[in-house]
Amino acid sequence: MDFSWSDEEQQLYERTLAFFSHLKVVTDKPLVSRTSDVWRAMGEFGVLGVAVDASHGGLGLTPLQTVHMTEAIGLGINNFGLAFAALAHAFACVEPIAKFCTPEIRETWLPRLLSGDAVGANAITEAEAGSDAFALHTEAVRDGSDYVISGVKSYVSNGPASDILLVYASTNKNAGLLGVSAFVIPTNMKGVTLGKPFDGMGLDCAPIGPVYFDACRIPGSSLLGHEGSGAQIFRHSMQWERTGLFGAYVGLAQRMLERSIVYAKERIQGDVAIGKHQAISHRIANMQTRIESARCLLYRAAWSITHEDRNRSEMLVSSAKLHVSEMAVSTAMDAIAIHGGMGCMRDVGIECALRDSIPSTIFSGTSDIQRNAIAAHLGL
Amino acid sequence: MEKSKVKAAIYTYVAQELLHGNAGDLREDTPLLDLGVIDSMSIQKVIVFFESTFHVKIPDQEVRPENFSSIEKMASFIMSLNANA
Repeated sequence: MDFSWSDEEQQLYERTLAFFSHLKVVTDKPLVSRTSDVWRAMGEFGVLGVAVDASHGGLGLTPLQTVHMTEAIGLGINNFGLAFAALAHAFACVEPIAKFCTPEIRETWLPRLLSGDAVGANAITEAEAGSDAFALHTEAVRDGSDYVISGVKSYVSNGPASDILLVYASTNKNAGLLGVSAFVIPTNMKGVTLGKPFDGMGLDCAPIGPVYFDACRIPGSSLLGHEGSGAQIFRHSMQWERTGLFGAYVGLAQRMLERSIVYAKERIQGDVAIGKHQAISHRIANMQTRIESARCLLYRAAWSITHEDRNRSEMLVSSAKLHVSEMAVSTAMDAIAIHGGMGCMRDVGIECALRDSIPSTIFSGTSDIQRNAIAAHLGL
Repeated sequence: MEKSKVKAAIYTYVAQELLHGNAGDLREDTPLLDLGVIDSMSIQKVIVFFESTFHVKIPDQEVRPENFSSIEKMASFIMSLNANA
């Protein structure tokens, strides 16, 4: 296990940090859209295909290299919702499509998804599924060589702006989670309706909303893998998302730490900088310790994906996701406390880190679901 | 390992761990997936149990309904993995 970086890996980190630090984010138009200059610029940079094999046009990074790169994204970007949207697109939609779909679908959609000429979304969550993510009501019924899909998906990240969906639906109600299959569905198909984005907490420019399927007929070639392999494909994509996307949260927390250190040196109280008061310096020391431990656990989990067996890596990935997300919330709270009233002002750019971090304890499996998964791997 | 012993070990595991001792009329052909006894959380526990108890590796592509739908099917699946080892 070696977490030192090669020159090439470090250069990618520096280039990524520079790109996202200088990204011109103008929010008077939708950022997550195939017509968005920013979305296309991210495609050109390679972020939208970070996890896709190089033979298919992606960057072909390992999970560990990916985490390093996304850490630079989170550190550099001043609109974390855009990072969330891009990485959700990359890990939960584009990577599994590249890995599991037919050559025909891959040739049609992958270049567009990689370049930013299309927005992808992963549609699994349903309002009544709760903690059992695969207790799906959305059904895909075979009809000749086609499937007919009916149902409703809720909380689809990028859903309202999406051009293509990776949809999980039941093809065998009697087989529970092993009867779930995955399909690639363009959103311009008859029978697909994209709902309006919810007005949610944080991740401001990332559109999240419901998607409705009303007897949507799709060709059999839209199936990823084989019937019943949906759970396996989803678990695969979550290994990427729970590491890659959470690298960006380590970067976001690092930014909060760096801003807090600068402020603690500049802000004078009682003739001394507030960083000289232990109430502040100890809080910053705790932030540093939490961030570094979360970073190390995330690297360890990402390394495990390619070096250890599945059970071990899934447990470590759940541990990392749990720890990074809760670390991000604590760090944002500390940053607000250090900045005082100023930290609560929107235009200062501190409080948004808290609003962006709290959802991370919910999406990609809640903190308690991660604890359940860790316990299951421990035989409990 | 004999299939009857594999089956007995799986029965005990399902009864104690997944049904929390409330096995009721659990049978070898009870449809565990259909009844939701095996769901997205418990499937991972079952795989960990199989790999640690029977010293087998469960390939992703073998996590299919026909291998996990009942105690009988799971025992047959474990026996086939042992036979091919």
